[in-house]
Amino acid sequence: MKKLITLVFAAVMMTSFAAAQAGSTATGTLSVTATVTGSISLVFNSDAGAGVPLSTGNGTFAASLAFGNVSAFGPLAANITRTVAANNFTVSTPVDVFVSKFNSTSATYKLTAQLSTADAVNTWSVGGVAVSNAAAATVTATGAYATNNALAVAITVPFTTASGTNISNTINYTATSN
Amino acid sequence: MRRVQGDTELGEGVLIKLRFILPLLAIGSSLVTDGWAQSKAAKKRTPTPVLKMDSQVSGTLAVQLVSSASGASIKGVTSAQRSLDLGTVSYQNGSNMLNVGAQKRSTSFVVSTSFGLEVDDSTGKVSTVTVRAALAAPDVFIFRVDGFQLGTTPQLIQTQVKPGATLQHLLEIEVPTSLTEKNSQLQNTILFQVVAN
Repeated sequence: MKKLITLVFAAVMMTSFAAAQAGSTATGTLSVTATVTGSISLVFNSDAGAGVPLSTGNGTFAASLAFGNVSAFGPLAANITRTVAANNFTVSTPVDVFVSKFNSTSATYKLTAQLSTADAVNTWSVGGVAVSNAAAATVTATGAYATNNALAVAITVPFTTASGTNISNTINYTATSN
Repeated sequence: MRRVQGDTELGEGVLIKLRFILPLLAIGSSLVTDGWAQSKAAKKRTPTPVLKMDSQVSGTLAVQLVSSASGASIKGVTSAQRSLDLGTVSYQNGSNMLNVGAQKRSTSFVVSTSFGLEVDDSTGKVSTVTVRAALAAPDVFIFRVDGFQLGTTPQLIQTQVKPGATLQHLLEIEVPTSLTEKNSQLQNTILFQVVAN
């Protein structure tokens, strides 16, 4: 009889435990939504071998380029191209612009450039296109993504500029997906 | 003792009469079926104490999904059915929602936020629970909770969770950059399941 009682007690305990286990669950749901939008990014890269290395910000969207001392006939830093005209000289060096796309179906991009502040003395150009602070100039109409777009940054300096004059400005590049 | 057909002998001369076993089997059966068979047979009867205890244990756990102080706002009509809107997200700009982070990777970006999950036990009899999570539907986005990648099969998130405390969890959603605007609407449901240990 004792064995039977033990047997029955175990059976009752097991069935009770099973019932308790089956009942001791709970659920919760978390619905998650988001809207993914496409985006593009622009970074500057030093043009390896052909351009003056970017002094700061290589591989980022904010870089600086230093030509060093420039003159109509004196020595220049490596990878600076110079042309001399009747009343001025131009120094230029290529800078790579690298535009990437993310979550976008866009095939190409448009690149514009604009000077941050007016320069009434010197003439600036990017990729052969004159740029000023008046309006953004289209430098590339259909640029390819994920490839370095080498664009020469050029400054034309009049002969009337006094020696030791510091020339400085900021060029704002804007890439827009087509 | 006179033996009849159906009697069981347990040895050592102990003989169990069939008329003792049948009522015990009936009790066991009613426990297994959670009283269904009994209630069908006699609806007007008062449930036995054993069945009453089972009824109290059943469904004593409850899950509450709550906003975290450092997480995005969680909304919903019930504490167990919540919704989380991560807003507009992009590789370059991250999210426009408060307390939603974004991390860039080479071929993807990860949107993340934290949330709270509380397990309540009204009886106080459950010492610890196990938390699992799963996605309601397969997805091209990669969902992770506390670093555990989710699929449609429940994934173990945490064991030995004590009821009553609100534990913070990290939700991460990885968005491949190869997805375009046209096919990258993010919408899924995470199912949380807690089971008493």
